[in-house]
Amino acid sequence: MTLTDAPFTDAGVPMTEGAGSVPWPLVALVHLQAGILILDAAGKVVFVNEWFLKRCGMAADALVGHQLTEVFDRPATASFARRLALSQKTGFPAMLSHSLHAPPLPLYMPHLIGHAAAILSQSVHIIPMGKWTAQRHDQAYTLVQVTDVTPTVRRESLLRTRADEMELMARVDALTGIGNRRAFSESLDTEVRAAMRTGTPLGLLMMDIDYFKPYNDHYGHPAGDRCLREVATMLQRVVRRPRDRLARYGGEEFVVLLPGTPVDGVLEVGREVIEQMRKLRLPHLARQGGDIVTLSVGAASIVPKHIDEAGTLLRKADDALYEAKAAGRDRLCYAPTVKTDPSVV
Amino acid sequence: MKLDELALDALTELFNLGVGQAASAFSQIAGDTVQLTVPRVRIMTHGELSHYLGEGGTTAVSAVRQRYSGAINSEAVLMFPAERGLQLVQMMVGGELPLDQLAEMEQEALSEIGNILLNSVMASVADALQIQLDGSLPTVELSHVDSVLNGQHEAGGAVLMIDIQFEVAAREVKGLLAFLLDVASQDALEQLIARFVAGA
Repeated sequence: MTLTDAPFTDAGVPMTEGAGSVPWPLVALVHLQAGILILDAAGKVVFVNEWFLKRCGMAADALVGHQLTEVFDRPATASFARRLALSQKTGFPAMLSHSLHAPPLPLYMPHLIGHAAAILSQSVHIIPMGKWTAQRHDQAYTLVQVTDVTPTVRRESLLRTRADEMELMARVDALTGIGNRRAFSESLDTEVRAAMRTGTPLGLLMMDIDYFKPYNDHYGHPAGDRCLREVATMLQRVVRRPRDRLARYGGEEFVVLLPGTPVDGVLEVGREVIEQMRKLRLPHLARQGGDIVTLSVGAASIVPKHIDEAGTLLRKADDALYEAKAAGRDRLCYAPTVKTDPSVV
Repeated sequence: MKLDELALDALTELFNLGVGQAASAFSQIAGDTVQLTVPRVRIMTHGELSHYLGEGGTTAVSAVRQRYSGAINSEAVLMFPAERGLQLVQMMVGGELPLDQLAEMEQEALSEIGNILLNSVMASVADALQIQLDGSLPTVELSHVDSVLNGQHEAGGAVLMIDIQFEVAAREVKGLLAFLLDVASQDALEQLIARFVAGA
C-alpha cells in the first residue's frame, strides 16, 4: 500500500471507521488534534486530516489530488510558499513561528470559517520526508504540521497587559492618583544621576499639611481623604513641567522633584504652592492661627557630585520643612542656610 | 583537526554564502534590511574551547540547536546572551517593549531564526561540498555557554566557531555560531574541503 491511497476511501474522504485495510498509524493521523497535510514532490495534497478540514471548512476531495497553491480562496502566504520550496530543495525541516509571520494558512475557528477575526494563530512545521519515503515509495513526500497557538498567544497578551497594569499601579498612590513614595525614590535616583552627568541643579520641595491630625479628628477621616485629594489636585495644577515629579511622600506629606531648577526657581514654585493652597480656602476650624488649610514647605536645590547626595537633598529639604513648621507654619523655608523667606510670611 | 589558511578561507566563504541567504530571508520577515556579518571561522579543540570561553562559559544564553547527519555529523548551535535573544526577536518584528523573560511565543520565534540561519549555512556547505545531509527541527535551550557546548561534546572533538552580528535599523545583536564535530566528521570535512579547494 502506498501513502497516496492509504487513509482514504475511493471518494477521497478520510476513513475514520472500518479502517481494516488502512495501516493503523495513519488512522491515528486522521484523528490527531493538530493539522496534518502531506504533499507529494510536485506540491499536490495526498493526505489531509480531520482537524485541518474542519478548520479550513472544506471537504477532503476539494484538497486531495490538487495543488496546495490552488485549493484555497485565500491562498497560503508567500512566506509559507518560499519556506516550503526551500525545504523541499534542501531536505532540511523548517518552521514558521507565530510571532514572525501572519497566519500562513487559511484556517479558522470551526464555527467562524472565513471570518478574518477568527483566523487561527499558527505555528507551522515543514518536514521533508524524502529520506524515508523516496526509498520505500515512489517519491519524496513532505509533511506540513499546523499547531493552533491562539490560546497561548491570547494568554501571553493578557499576562503582558496585566503585568503592565500592575507595574503602573505599583507607582501610583491609590488615594490621590499621583505618584507614590516608590515612584518618587526611583525618579530621585534617575534625576540625581542625570544632574551629575549634566552638572545642572536639582530642586526639591517637601510639603506638609498644617494641623492635619486635628483636621482628621474634627472632620473625620473621609473628609481628611477629600482634603488630601484637593491638595494633590492643586499641586498637579502648579507643577506643570513634563519632567517635574509630584508624589505623596507619606500621610499628609507631598514632594516635588524639580530637575534643572536652581534655588530661585524652586522658591518660586514653593511660593506659588503656598499661594494656591490659601486660595482654595478649605475650612479648618480645629487649628491655631487661622481657619483654612495651609501648607508648610521646605525647599532645597543642589548640583550633585555623587549619587549619595540624593540623601543630602532630602535632608536639606526636610530640615527646611522643619524650620517652616517651627517658625509658625503656612510658610516657605529653604536650605542650606534654612532662612525663612520673608515674602510669604 | 588541521585546516590550513586556504581551507579556512574556503570554509569562511561557504559560511558567508549561507549567511547571505539567511540575511535576505530575515529581511523579508523584518520588512527592513537585516545585515548579518561573519568575520572568520575559527577551529578549536575541546580544551581550547574551555580556555577561550574562560569566565564567559558561565554566561547565560538562549541557544537554538539542530542536529545534522550524513557525510558529516554535527550539532549546530546558534546562541545569544540570554537577554539579547528576545531583543533579536523584537528587532525582527519591530517591537519596542523591553521584557525580561523569554515567553513561549518569543522562544518559538527564536527557534525559527536559528532554523533559518543554521539551515542556510549547512545548505551552502552541503551544496558546495556535494554531500547529502539530513537535519532536525530546532530546539531552544536556556542554559550556560559551557553546558550548551560541552554537554554533548565528544573528547577529541572539534568546534567551528563563528562570531555573528545581526543589524537591523542601527540596532545590533552579537551572537555565536558553533558547529560541534566528532572525530570521524573532522576527517571527512578535512577531505571534503581539500577536494573543494583543489577543484576550485
